[in-house]
Amino acid sequence: MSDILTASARAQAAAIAAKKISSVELTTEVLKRLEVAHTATHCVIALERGEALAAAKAADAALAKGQAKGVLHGVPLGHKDMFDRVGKIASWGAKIRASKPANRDAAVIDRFKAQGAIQAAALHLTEFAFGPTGHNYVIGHARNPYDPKRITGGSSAGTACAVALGAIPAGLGSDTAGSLRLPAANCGVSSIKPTWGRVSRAGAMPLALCLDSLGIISRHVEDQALMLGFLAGQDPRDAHTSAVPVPDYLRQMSETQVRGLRVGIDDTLNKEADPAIQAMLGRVADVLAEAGLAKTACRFADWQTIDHLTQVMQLPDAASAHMAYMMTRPDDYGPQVRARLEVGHFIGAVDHMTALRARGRMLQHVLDTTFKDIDVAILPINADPLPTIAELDVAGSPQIQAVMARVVKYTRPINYLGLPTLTLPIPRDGGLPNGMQIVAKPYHEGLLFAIGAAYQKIVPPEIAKPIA
Amino acid sequence: MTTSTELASYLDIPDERRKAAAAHITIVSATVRKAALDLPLDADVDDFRRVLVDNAPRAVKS
Repeated sequence: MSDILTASARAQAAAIAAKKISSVELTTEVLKRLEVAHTATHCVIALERGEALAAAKAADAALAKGQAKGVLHGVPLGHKDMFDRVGKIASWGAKIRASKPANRDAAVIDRFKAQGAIQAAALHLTEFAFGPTGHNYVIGHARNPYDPKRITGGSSAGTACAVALGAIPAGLGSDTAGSLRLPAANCGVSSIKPTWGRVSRAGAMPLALCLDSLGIISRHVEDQALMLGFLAGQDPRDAHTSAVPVPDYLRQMSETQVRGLRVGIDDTLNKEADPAIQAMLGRVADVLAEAGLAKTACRFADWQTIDHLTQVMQLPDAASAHMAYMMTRPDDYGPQVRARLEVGHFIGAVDHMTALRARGRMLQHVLDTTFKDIDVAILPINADPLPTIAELDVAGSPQIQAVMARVVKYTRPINYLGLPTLTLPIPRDGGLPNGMQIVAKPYHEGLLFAIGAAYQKIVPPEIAKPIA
Repeated sequence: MTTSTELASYLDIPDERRKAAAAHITIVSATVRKAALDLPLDADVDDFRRVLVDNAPRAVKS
């Protein structure tokens, strides 16, 4: 049983299809593991035991009749609790919630169901997915699987914790300024933040729709390739989804030759990180070189400009989405999210429009310069080694902007550019987890999966264990 | 000129946070003004989506 629990979702689906394990057996074990993971990390918002076991029983019955539903038939997963599901009210990690149950599933939930996947739990997130550390002043902070005193990263904290501890192989998260990448890095797992507009956000709680991307946190990169294959694509319910055809990511992952690909490293930008982070980045770059990639120099020259433009886009977008609640129920927000939402009201419409209008040209400039002679770039995700929950417990204090700016220094500008980004955990060597991001050109997720799969041949996925 | 005490007057924001927000926005707004100097008149919000699609790998373009 332990072998199958540490396997990828794809391997778990194959085991169920081959009747080596039933969906009920696997789901029963996953529910137990989620309870254990929750005790350690506070990662579960709702454990859906009855529904999950009923769905598993139905999956086993369908399989017995030769009616398997899809590529994840009978596989139990858990997702960030921000998606509409018929008959349920998502918590949004908040006290303020929708006034009535959803009458339609979010597009991503619908697509997982169509592939036969089961949802065993709704998982922790920062309040309204607005926070990069895993602090949540409404439902409680998430705790790191390797050291409960340390942060998980956010906002998709619960998915990262549950995946890291081997309770589930993969699950959904979202990323507006780093919310897939930071928790994946801090919990020692992988994630894919797809190109902006690649995955429908219909039925997902918005934070700032101009920046929001939905993606997958998993231990195995192959699960991201499998899942993005059915999650990606145009959706009439989300006008921002792209008509660019969805390739066979699994095939691209296995057939793309990574030897000779050029990975860009921006030494100037990286030197703004803590020396320990610079050393970790060097270590990951060495692994990529071992996989056959060629290291070369690159330069993200306008990083701070892009970061400021991102804020000028994000903050009013989020503030506008929350304006009604902020005017009528301000005391129902936690102190941190309330303080951050307030800032958006101070940004002028001309500044916001200018940041929006500059976005296409800034992206083209980065592609023409930074990416001129490289295939992908590698950047840190964290500027500093993993902090404690207490160290970043700034609640709604006036220094919040500066503290948060340091946390998302290497992630937030990528959302302005809309580029796809793969998180890979560092080789830990017994130490605390961290991760690096591989950034590619638009719609080059298949290339990222090929690099990620090559990396994981050298640095295999692992199950988190508390460090004594 | 609008002051920080007048902005967002419909929200109950303590003075300390109001001042901190205004100070932060002063910094990022200065960056926006610099970026605006290089922005032609016809720069459009939709340029972004076009650039994303234009730079998709050829094999997956429609």
